[in-house]
Amino acid sequence: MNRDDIKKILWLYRPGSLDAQDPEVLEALGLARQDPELSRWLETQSRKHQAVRQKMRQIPVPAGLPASIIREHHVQQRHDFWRQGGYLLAAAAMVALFIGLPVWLRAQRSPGTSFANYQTEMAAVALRGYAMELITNDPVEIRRYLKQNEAPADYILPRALQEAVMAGCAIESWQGSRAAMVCFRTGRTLSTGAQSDLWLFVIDQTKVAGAPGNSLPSIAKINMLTVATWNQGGKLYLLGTTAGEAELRKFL
Amino acid sequence: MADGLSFENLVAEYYEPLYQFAFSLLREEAGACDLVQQTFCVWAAKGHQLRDGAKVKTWLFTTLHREFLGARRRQIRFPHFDLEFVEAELPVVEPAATSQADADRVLAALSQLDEAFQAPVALFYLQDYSYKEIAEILGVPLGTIKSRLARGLERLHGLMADKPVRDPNNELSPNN
Repeated sequence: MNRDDIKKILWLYRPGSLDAQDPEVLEALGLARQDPELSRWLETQSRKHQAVRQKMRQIPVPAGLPASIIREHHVQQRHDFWRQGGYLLAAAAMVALFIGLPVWLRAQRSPGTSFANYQTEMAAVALRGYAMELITNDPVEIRRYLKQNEAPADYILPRALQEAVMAGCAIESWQGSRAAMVCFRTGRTLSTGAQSDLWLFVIDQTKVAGAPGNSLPSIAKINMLTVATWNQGGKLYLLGTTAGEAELRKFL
Repeated sequence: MADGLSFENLVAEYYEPLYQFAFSLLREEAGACDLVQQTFCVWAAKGHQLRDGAKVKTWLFTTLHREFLGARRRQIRFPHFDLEFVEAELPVVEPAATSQADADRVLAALSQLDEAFQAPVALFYLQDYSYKEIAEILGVPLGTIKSRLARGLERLHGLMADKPVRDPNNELSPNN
């Protein structure tokens, strides 16, 4: 290592720093100390660096800077909190919507298990049309079919209704329960396409909130349908026809 | 990340050297304050990703320099000088000239250096970072940092001595 090499290495040397830990610098320092001329050069060089170093470190720092940084940080944190809170709020709203919407829709579709609602829905089934699942005039067949499909089959018919001609049956679903629909013919002329004009709906009484406990039929008018409802043996009966009350009473 | 080091403590410990580095790059108080502020903002957002607590200071200086370069790039496009593998050069500077220089004069001289030399020279004097650490902070190879330091220091001392300095892009041999 000649003098120029040593100077090249020590030109970047800062006394008192970690530079001396570099093996190359360490070697150059050792050689420089053995050479009076290089020692003087190194001393001068070190003073120069030290002077610039001191001046650079005298750069004044604004007194309010740390407070300003911390203040800005807190503002940013609050901003982030609200921004994050906004996302959380939106997410919570979405979750509530997904959970609440089906419940709300179901509630809109079904006002409940009230007796009035049962009457309205069964009347609608009779008036708006239905599909008989079993077409037969055999009362035994009808009971068997209803029993097989877990609908009330052990119903008790009023004496007059026992005389009426059966046309078939269907099973209606209502609020998670099954109602038996037995179709009859009054003997009057049926309208075009009609297969029956007298309908009996039977359901477990406990499934209908507020169902009348009276065993005597009570007559009501639900839209175009005249209905008689009564209770017997823990079952709620609803007999309806479009032929009017007088015709209806013939079968009670 | 640096466990147990609160944001407030971090600011208290490092705002001063960071500001001095920022000021040496910008030579303008408001801009330097913004740069330091931005550096701590980045720390608040990403500092948790730093696993080695011993590297907090280096991380902050690296971030400050990146933010500085990013801001510069947005303002102007400046030419790139490839200075790798250039030999160190020695200036002809009287010691008295340097010792008389005040901080403003040093910074004025620093501002006249090529952009590529400013950050290494500033870190060389402001902090006791090793050449390797300076290279890490600035994201350039060690050899490049050494050559940039040699050239930058030569030019800086030359400017402060008010003596003509040779073009740093030319190959020079050290003189005494």
